[in-house]
Amino acid sequence: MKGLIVKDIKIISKRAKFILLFTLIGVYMAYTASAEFGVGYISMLGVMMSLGTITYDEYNNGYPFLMTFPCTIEEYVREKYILCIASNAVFVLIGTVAISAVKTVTGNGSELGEIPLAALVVFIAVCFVAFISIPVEIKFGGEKSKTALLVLYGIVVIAVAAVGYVIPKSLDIAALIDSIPISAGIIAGIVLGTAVTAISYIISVKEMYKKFV
Amino acid sequence: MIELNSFKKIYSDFETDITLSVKKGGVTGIVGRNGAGKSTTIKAILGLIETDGGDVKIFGKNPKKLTAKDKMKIGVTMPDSFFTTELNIKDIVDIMAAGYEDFDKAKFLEKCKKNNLPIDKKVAQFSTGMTAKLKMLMALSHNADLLILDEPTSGLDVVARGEMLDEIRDYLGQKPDRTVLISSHISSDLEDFCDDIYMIHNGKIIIHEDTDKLKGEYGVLKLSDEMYDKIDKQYILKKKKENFGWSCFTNERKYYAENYPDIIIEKGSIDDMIILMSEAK
Repeated sequence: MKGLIVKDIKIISKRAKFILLFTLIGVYMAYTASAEFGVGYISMLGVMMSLGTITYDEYNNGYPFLMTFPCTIEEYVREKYILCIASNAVFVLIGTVAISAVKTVTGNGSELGEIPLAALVVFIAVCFVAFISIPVEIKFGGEKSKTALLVLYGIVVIAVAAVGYVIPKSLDIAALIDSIPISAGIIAGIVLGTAVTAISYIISVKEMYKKFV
Repeated sequence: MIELNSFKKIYSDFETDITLSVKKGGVTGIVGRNGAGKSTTIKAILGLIETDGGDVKIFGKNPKKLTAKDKMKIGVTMPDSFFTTELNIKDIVDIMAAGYEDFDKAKFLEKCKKNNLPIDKKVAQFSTGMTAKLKMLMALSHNADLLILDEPTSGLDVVARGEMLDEIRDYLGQKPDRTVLISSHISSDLEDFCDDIYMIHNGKIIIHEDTDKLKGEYGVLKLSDEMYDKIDKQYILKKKKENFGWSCFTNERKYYAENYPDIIIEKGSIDDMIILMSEAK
């Protein structure tokens, strides 16, 4: 797996100027909008770069050659998850440090206390997005996966809107959520996160195997 | 090292039925026309396709069960599959060093320099021949026990092909048990290189022979219609109608030379084998 990680880091590093530019845009957004938005923007950049390595692997019909490299299909898929989590963490850290520095220099130091929690929430949310996206990227490849993800998130938005329409207006969702104990919420979050990760991984491995029939 | 027993893969236009083995320390060639099933066979050996029947084993294992450690012992070239070409040789060195325990970085870079492969240029900017050389050097760079080379000289000119085959010979000479399975449609690459050769046509093995026997005992008889009617046909494997009469492929060249001294007999080459065994009746 080491070789795969080095390969993907090399691929991502080819986009260094692009990454720097969009990091600066993210810092500017944090300055003009909010820290959460800026950190989220920068961490999404990291995950997009990581997901992009799947597209690069596909170029030149690369999968057969990659499978002769010292790795199994399961290791190839696991490496993509590790890469997404690691790049998410790195870019969240970069974003947090950069935005904190800008806010300190520009005299907005009072907002610094909100940034770590915002960073944690963003990290978890972006991991969630990555784990939904990896099997879609593997199944559909490069350009088609963008359309597939748009359709998928569109369906999610419509489903949420439909639920909101169906729920009685008298039901106070916010109060209901506030009434749940924090520990229960954390456990529920861990269970949900584990389930999403496991299902995502199983589908990704299955889709990779389908490429070698 | 490699065993295929009635390996079957069913496609819409043909199906394979291949029994083949490659012994440790051997150099085995697979020849055949484009689309004959050479690459399909190699992909099955590497576990890159599902089989529809029969048995495929590499290192005594089902190829789908190969571990990362097993794959470190295999050097592979493929004509139509590679890393993303956004990488350069410097990147590839780091990737290979991280992936293969026995990767010899210094030797690999020395060979790249010897073959005029620029280390800072993206592979996307390489010519077809340069990419083919790079793939071959990568396969030879990590002390693999088994080389599986699918059309390794494709895209190389005759001089470069000779140089690459010399690299493989040199590699084999370093350790006695190293094994090679090589496929090519350029038969001259294999004649002086392989111990034995399998010829595949329409997914089936139609000849398997030691290269020495192919060169020593096989031949092509050039016969007029009259001579063809008279000749003993028991050792004629295939015949093809020509303008002058008949071309007949035989595995008993000496028999015909001794018994029919007047007929024209040419030494069998792998090209003749491919043409006559695939086109003739």
